[in-house]
Amino acid sequence: MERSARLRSGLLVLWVFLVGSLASAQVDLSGSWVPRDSRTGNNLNAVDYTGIPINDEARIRALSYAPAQISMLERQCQGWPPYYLAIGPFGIKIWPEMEMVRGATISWTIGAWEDRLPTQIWMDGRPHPSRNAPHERGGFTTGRWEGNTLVAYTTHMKAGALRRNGTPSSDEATMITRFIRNGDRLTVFAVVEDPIYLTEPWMLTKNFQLDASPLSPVGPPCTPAFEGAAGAGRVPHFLPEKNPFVGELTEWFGVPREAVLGGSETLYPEYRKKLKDQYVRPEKCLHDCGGPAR
Amino acid sequence: MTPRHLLGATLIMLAVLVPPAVAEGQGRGRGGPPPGSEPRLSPRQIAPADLTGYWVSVVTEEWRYRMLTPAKGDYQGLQLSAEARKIADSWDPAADEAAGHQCKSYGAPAIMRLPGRIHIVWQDDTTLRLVADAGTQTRLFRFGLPQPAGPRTWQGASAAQWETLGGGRGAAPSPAPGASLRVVTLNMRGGYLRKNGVPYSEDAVLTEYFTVAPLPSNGQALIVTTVLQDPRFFPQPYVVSSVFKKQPDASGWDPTPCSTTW
Amino acid sequence: MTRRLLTVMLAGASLVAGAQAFAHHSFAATYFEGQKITIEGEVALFQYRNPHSFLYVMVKDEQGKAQRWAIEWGGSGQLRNQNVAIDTVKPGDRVVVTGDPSRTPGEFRLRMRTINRPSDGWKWGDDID
Repeated sequence: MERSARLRSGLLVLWVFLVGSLASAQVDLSGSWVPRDSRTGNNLNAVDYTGIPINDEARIRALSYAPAQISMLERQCQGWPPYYLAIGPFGIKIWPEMEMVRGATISWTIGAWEDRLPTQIWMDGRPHPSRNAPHERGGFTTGRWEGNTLVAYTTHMKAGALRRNGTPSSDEATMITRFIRNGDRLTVFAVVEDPIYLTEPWMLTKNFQLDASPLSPVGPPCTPAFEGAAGAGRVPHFLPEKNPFVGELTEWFGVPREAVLGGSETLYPEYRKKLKDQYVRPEKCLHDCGGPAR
Repeated sequence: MTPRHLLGATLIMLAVLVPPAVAEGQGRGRGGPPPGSEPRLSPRQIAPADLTGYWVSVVTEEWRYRMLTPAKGDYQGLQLSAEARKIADSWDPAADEAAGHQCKSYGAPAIMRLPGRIHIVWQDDTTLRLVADAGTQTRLFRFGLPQPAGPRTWQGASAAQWETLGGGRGAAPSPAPGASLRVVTLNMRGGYLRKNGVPYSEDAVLTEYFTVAPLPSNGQALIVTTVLQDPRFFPQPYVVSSVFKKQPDASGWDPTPCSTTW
Repeated sequence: MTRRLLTVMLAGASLVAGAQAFAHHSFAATYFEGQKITIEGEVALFQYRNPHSFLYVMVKDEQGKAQRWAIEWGGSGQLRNQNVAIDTVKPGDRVVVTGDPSRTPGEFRLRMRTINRPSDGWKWGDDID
């Protein structure tokens, strides 16, 4: 009896060790990752839906957006949805939360920014909330490993924006994010699906590099204040056909208006055949041309 | 659970987790082949991901810089040296045309960013061939041996390896499922990173990571991360990722010649 | 909209890039970056905050009526790194500010580009090293 109990105990200890090994990450993503991505596009124009597979509903909604909306007291601190991780300008701090008996990783946390909540990627197999559960600004995210890639699935996000010029996202949007580490470089590949506003999945990327200087895991607190917005008590907007900025990309860069307004067709190489007849390259750049030599 | 059941389950768990080196050691100890004489598997055989097939670019970022040829002097977002800026400001497509440099913006650092389709096949067990219909360019990714020196070309010479992140005790690291293909390209002719004359020099070193990822509804994406180190023209490395979607066949394949303006 | 101006410059100004500057909202969507307006007046309040600090300057128009201008600046952390503290600019300081005007008609609002305080020569801005 005593021997049987000792054997049971020993096997249980071995089990705990083995399960702990299985639960540990294939790749360590922890650290401070600074943005190292040469894409343009952080400073978006007021009407620029190029490269987004939006539908007509999204387009109408986007064209009604006035940038002054974000200066409303109620909206200044609302922040952006989790896909802002791949759109926004900041670096990210990533750390694991571990269970201290077996060393299993319970979650990976991506630290917050001033306008994005932290993302906690649950690795412990817990299910997503029910369809009718409340949505949070940061959504709800679970994750798993595929080889050395962390794959995160986010649901239950609030309605927000796909871009910081009012291109809308609905509260039915979901996102799959892959964290691909190659050496000291991290590529984030996000696929956003939105049955309300997108006609196909929207794919985004952003690159980071591991840095020794620690980034803050939390964003600074947001303080609502008067931001000079005119007309307190109203929501700035444009009525249909009244957005005054819709022609800017065409005027400044020659981008045909149809392309400015986005859509699935505009994402693929075939669309260039249509563009060739419509596009007249400006003689030289006169607007938003680039910074000084470094 | 009885001790007998627990023992059985533990043995199964050990069988799953035992490192390859331990198994190898046991094999050698029991009359297996001598070390170094086992047949080496080719890069094709150990490939952790399938990059072959037809892929179409999906342009969701930097749209007007990729789908259109921007105006001269438009390099918004890029950190250029003074020399690079001077070259970009004096871009002359007619002069490039006259000099026979129509493919100057189709070189290895730029080609993956151009809208179009690519076709990837195994040319042999140690070489992947990538053909782009934009500019009808061909790139060869060779595993193993260092590249022989030769004249510089738009596509340069590319050395490939599957990314590994360490293996079990004593085992040679093997690529994990879904690992990236790392390609380093040298010996390139200086070209244009963007079609409007933003330059890269012949001293540039190009490192790329090709990663395959599943998409919702059974699709597949190919993410190509480009890291271009060219201190003469870029004080900081140029880093972008381009996304492709897999196609079942060659539909839409449209070989087009190089163009200095479109 | 009337105001006392030193100069109004309409130019195809090139953008001074910086990742930090593009946080929270797109400046290009909120302001006319190709235009510049310069105002001079007295600081009413310096709201040192996140996501963006705001400097409120009272500017007298041609009729002598004071109009409050809101000038959007960097977040408090960003400004701290640039040696702009909560008390660097105080109510009562007389300042000259150049910035991009708001896209929203009727708003007395700028995005900060340069500021200087003639009384002691203090300056901050895109063009200043």
